[in-house]
Amino acid sequence: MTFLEDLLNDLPELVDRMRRHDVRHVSLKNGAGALALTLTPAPTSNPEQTPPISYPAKAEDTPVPSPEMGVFRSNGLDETHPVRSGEIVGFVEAGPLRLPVTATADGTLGPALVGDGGVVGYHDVLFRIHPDG
Amino acid sequence: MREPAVSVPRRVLIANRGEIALRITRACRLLGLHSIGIHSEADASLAHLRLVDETICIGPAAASGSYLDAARILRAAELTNADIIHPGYGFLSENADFAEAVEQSGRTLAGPTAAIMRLMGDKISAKQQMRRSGVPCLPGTEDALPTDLSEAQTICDAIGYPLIVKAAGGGGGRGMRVVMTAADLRDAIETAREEAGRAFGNPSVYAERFLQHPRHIEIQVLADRQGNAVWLGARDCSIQRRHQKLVEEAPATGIDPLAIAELGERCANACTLMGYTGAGTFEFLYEDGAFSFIEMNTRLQVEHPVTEMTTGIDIVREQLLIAMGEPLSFTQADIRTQGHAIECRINAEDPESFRPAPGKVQSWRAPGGPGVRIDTHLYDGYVVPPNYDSLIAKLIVHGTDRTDALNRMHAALSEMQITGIATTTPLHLRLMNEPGVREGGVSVHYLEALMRKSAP
Repeated sequence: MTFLEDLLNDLPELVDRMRRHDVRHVSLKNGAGALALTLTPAPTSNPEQTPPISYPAKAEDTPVPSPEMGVFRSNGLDETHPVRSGEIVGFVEAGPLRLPVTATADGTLGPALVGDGGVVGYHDVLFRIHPDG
Repeated sequence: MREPAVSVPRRVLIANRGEIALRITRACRLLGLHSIGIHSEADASLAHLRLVDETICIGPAAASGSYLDAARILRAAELTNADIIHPGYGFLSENADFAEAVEQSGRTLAGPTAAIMRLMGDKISAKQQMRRSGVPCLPGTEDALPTDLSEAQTICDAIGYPLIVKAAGGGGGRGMRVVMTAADLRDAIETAREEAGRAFGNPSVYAERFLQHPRHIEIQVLADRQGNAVWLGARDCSIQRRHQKLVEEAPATGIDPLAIAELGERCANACTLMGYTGAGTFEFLYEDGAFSFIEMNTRLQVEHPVTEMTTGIDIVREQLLIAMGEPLSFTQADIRTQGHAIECRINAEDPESFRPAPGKVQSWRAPGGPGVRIDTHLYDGYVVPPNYDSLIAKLIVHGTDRTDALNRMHAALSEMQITGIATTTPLHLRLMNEPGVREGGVSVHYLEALMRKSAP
C-alpha cells in the first residue's frame, strides 16, 4: 500500500484519538510524502461553569494529582475504567503546555473529580484509583 | 466622607499569604468584591482561604515556586479571571518586572505602575527624584560612585566621614558598609560592590553621610489615579533588629507636629509630581531635628495598622478603590490623627536568639478589650511552616495618649496566649516596661544595644 492509502486507512482512528486527547494539529512526514492535519476545536465548557464534582474518598484509594495548575481536559474514560500505573487518564493545559495526567497505581479509576474544562490547582486530586482484588 | 460608587464587581486575586492575605480578604468582603485566594501546597489551611470566594493552589511550598513565581501568579489570575492583583507586602510587591507583566496582561496591580516602581526601586534615581520634589535627603553622591577608586575617594572625602556606602538596587542591609575613616573607604566600596552584584544583580553603589543615632520615621501616603495625594501622619519604627522592625507606633513622639506636617506635604507633592498611585511610604532617618530620605516603599507596609488606628482610614480598602479607578474619598483637610497607636510584631522566633521557631500552635487565645486589634491568621492547631517569614500576628493597640497605649499593649500582651511554639511575645512584654521605650524617641540602635547588654 502507498503512504496515502495507509494514512486513509488509519485516518478514522487517528482522528478519533486526536479528538479524545483534544489534539488539534498533527504533522506526519516520511520519504513518500507528508500530511498536516488540523481539526476544528471541539466546543469546550466554560471553566467557570464547571463545578467540581465531589465523591467520598476511601482510605485505600490512591489519589491521582494534577501535574500543574491549569485547565483539566477529560480523556473521556468510563467511571469504572481499569488502569495501569503510568497510563494517561487525562490532560491539564498549563499555558501553552498540554501535560498528561497519569495513573499513579494499577486498579480501577474512579470518576473525574473535576469536570472537563474545570480549573485545577497544582497537585489537586483529579481521580482516585481503587485497588483491584 | 462619601461612600464609593462601586457599580461593577471586580475580581481580586490576593497574591500573598498569612495575616496580610486575611487583611486584604476582609477589605474585599467589605467592598463586596469577588476575592481569589492563592496558596502553596504548604499553605492549604491558611485562615483566609475559608473566607475568599475562590481558591487555587499555585505551586509547591518553596516560595520560589509559588508566591515568588510571577508566571504562576499571572496564570492563576488568568485561570480565575482576576482583574485586580493585590500583592500585599514582601514577595513580588515591589518587583517592577512583575508589575509590568501584570500591566501587559491587561490587569491592574493594587499599587503604582512598573515605571514608578523602577524609579523608586533604584536608590540613586529615587534620591534624585526626591531632591527634585523638595524632599530632604542626606548629603551624598548624586549618582553611582565611579568605578575608579581614586575618583570615588575624592567624592567621598568631600561628603565627609563617617559615611555609608549602599547598593543602588538594594535594601535590607545587603551591599551596605559603614566607613568611619577615609582609610577604610576603598575596601568598603569593593566589598559593597561585590555583595550588591551578587544579591541584586546590580553592582552600583552610592555614598551618603552616616548618621550615628538616628530614629526611623516614615510618612504614609495615598494617591489616586486622578492626581490627588494625601499623607496620613508619621510612624516611628526605630525599634528594630538588623533592619527588621519589631515595634512601630504613630504618631512619632517628641517631634514637632508642624515639622511632620511640612514633611508630609512634601511627600504628598512628590507623589503628585511623579504620578504615584496607591499606598506608599517615604522612609526617613531623623537626627538632630532633621529628616533625611532613605527610600520609598511602593507598597502596603506591615505596620500600616497604626496609621489606620490613629486616622480611622482603612488603607487596604482605599488601595482597592484606587485600583478600581475611584478617586480618594477624602481630602487632606479631612484627615485628623487621634490618640496613639502601637504595633508589636509577634514572630514565631526565639525571643533571645531570634531563630525561627516554626511548628504547631497548640492553642491560641487572642487578647481583647477597648483599643485592642489583632491581625493574625492563627488558630488552634495551625502549623507555622518553615518556608516563609516568621510573622504570625500583629498586636495593635490604640490609646488616648502614648502612656495609655503602652499600658494597653502590656495588658494585651499579658493576656495573649500562644502555646506550642516560641514567639517574640516575652521580648515585647519586657520592652513595654523598658525605661527607654517608656520615655520614647529611641534610636534604631536601641534594641540591639539592649540585647547586647542583657546577653549572658
